[in-house]
Amino acid sequence: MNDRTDIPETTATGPPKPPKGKRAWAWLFGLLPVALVVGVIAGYLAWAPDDPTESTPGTPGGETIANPAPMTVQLGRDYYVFIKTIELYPRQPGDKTWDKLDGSAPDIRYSLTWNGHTGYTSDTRTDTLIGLWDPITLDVADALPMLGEGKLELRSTLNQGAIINATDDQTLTIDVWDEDPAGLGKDEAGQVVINVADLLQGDQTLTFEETDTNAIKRIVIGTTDTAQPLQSLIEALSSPNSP
Amino acid sequence: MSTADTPAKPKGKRMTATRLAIVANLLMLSAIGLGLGLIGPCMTIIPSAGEDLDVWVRLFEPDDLEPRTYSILGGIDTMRHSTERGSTLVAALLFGFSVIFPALKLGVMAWGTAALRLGVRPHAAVKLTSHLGKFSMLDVMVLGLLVLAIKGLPGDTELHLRWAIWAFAISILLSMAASIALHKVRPYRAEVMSDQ
Repeated sequence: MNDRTDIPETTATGPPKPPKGKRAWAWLFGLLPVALVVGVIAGYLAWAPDDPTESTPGTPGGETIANPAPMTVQLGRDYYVFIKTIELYPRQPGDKTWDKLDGSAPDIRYSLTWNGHTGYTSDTRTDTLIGLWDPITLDVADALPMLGEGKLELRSTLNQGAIINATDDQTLTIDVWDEDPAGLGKDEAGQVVINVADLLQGDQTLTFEETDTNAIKRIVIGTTDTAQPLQSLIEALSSPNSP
Repeated sequence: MSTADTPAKPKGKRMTATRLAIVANLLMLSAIGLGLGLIGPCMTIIPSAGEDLDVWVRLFEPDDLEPRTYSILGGIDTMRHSTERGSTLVAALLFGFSVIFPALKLGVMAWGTAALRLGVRPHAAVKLTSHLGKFSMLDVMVLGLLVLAIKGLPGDTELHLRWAIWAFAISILLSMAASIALHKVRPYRAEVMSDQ
């Protein structure tokens, strides 16, 4: 700075002009904070640990907290068992069409059998290869007056599945069929037998190969401990159906 | 070169050089704080419709009650994608005053600092810095409005501030300190320059 060359040149017409090189350095130094900001952002994106609740660009509202790893049922406890989804293959066992009369998709229905007794038979989902059932049903006409009195019993709405006791040596049988129009009987889609001890808490997706006796492609089973607090029960049951 | 041969630096010039070095360091620290403040987790919102209604919201719209963490940039991006009317304009304003403006302010101050240090007449840079100074609280005000808006949500919605908000605030404080120091330097430097 004390060198002779650092001294601005004096011109005859006006104030001394600084050397061009110095002006360029001043400009470059001005860009340094901006470069630092961009660099810190890029570095953070590259190396910072993921926060599962953090909103990421392009996903409005952010991602939700990841579900915990599934656990098997605990022997001796009672569980609600619900079928949330059943998907069938396009042809019924024996490579036959589902509805012979009009060629429409099957009318899916299922039952849950535990300990030798059928504990639940579902409603029918008509003309579809994928049937969806909600574990909770609420009759609004019944619920609204009760809400006014402040005494709606939510457990009474859990009427879409069976209650079982988890034991080591018993099985849960899911029978699935195509409900034919009144009087024409039913076409079996398949039967799934599961060891109760192998059931997972939460949602569990089972997939199957198409065979001469099976047209079930996929079943999503929801299993929830009956003893957990009501709020947790609702959270567990109100999770959306798996794809 | 022996010390005897070296001409003693004027006191004002030494002070100026030291101050400019401090300003430069403050600006760089402020830039790092700004980067972290913009991209780091700024706030976590834990939605709640109130004790009585939470059960029903969980039943019908469980995703609405999931806690969400936003960075300033993430929040602006979320707002940009929102379908609500006018949200793009608000996102643009927020982007302008919380991202572009602070970065620009730091850049201009750094330019002015370097110009003074190198003996370049910093007319434009210093003039621009004093103009930008008039808007220097707008970014803080935007942040405050954001927090107030969320605090005013109905129900028991909770807002937890995270470390990035402090990084952003410290960055603004450092830039203000740098601005004050830079303006104090100016007269000394002008004298030194006139000596030359």
